[in-house]
Amino acid sequence: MIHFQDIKNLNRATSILILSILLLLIKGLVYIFIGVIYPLGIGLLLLLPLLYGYLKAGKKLQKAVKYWSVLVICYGLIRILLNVFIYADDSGVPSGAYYQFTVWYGLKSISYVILGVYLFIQRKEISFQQKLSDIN
Amino acid sequence: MKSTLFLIPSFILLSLFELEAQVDPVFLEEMLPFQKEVIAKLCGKSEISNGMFLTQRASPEEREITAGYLSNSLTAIGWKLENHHYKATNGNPFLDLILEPMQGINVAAVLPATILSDTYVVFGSHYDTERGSPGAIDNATGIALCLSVARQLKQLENRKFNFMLVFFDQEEDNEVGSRAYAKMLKTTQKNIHSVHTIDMVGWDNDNNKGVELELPAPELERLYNSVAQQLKIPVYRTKVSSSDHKSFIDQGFKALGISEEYVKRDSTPYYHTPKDTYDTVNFEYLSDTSYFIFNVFKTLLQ
Repeated sequence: MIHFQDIKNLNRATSILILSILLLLIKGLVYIFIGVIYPLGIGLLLLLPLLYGYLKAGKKLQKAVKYWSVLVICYGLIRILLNVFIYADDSGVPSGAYYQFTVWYGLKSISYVILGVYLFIQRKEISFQQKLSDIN
Repeated sequence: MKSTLFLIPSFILLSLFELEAQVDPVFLEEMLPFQKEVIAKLCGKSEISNGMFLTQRASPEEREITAGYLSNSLTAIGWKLENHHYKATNGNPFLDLILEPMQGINVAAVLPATILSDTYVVFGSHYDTERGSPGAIDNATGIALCLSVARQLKQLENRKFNFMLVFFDQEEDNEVGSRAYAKMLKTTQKNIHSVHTIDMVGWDNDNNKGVELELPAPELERLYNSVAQQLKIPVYRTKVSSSDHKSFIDQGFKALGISEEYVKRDSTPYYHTPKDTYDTVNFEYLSDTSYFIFNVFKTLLQ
């Protein structure tokens, strides 16, 4: 069992790693509710190496976090690039998508890049074993 | 000389037919100012709500204002609102990984039958526009037609079917709104007699009052042809599938789309442009077509 106290005691880098995973899972779940499974499916696939690193811990975990942080940076950069492309030429873009490219969208994209960079730098600080020792 | 002798009676005969094809003057008198007001509000010629003028109906805010206006209009003419809020995929796996789902409102309302009935006749049109277009003909005309027919239906003393009127959101985004609605309607297991969607009914350069029936179910095609024959309105069957009717056909409903002569190229040249304005609407054609559709529904009720 993971106790609330364990989560509360996690260091900042580990908490941010969990946050980045939750963001991905929430996006997947939002689509599940409308009957679209691939965002969650792809998300879970991308999570597999991280899960492997988590199970192996130590150096493997650091490598997995490195992989994950690069993925988060790429995700943020792709979002920014897409915004730039659509700003340059919006022909053929459905309005439902076009009007999602707001200031809020831009801030979220930048946040993903910052989040990824932070995880990359702090990857050695990430450890579940110290705090989640009660996991059965 | 021989040909002149033939032409004179032909001309007289044609003129008689033209007279017969005229819309009921009472209908015209009631409908025309109403339809003009609806289209003026929808495409920014007059304000739609407190100081608000719409230049398009494409952004979420503009669509929400339009949905509010349409909801109020339906309530005002005595229809019971049953709006449908939906979320849908962006239609592209890559976009779905990046963006939130699309969302919108299909403005829907019901007019119950005057006798006990579980059968529904569905009709409607889309209310969104392409970005940068005021969308007078595409598709404020469709909305004006539906609202005016809805008003007339309410006044009928005997209706053996329930009517359901739906203003679809996001037709310009690959019919997202109508696809969500058709899917939802399928799950309700309601007894749907037929679905009639109207898209662009404001251009008639050759003044023939022609209407195109898009992918009509055979039974509906016969019905429309018989009413058109009485009103001397030329109708043409087409295979156009790029509008809301296709969403219902795909779900197995008996459906058709109705439009100006899009395939025969007597259609607005300002399609999806900033020039699709109030001033380009042929209101006489709109009234004629409204009268035609109203008569189709009246025939259905007989």
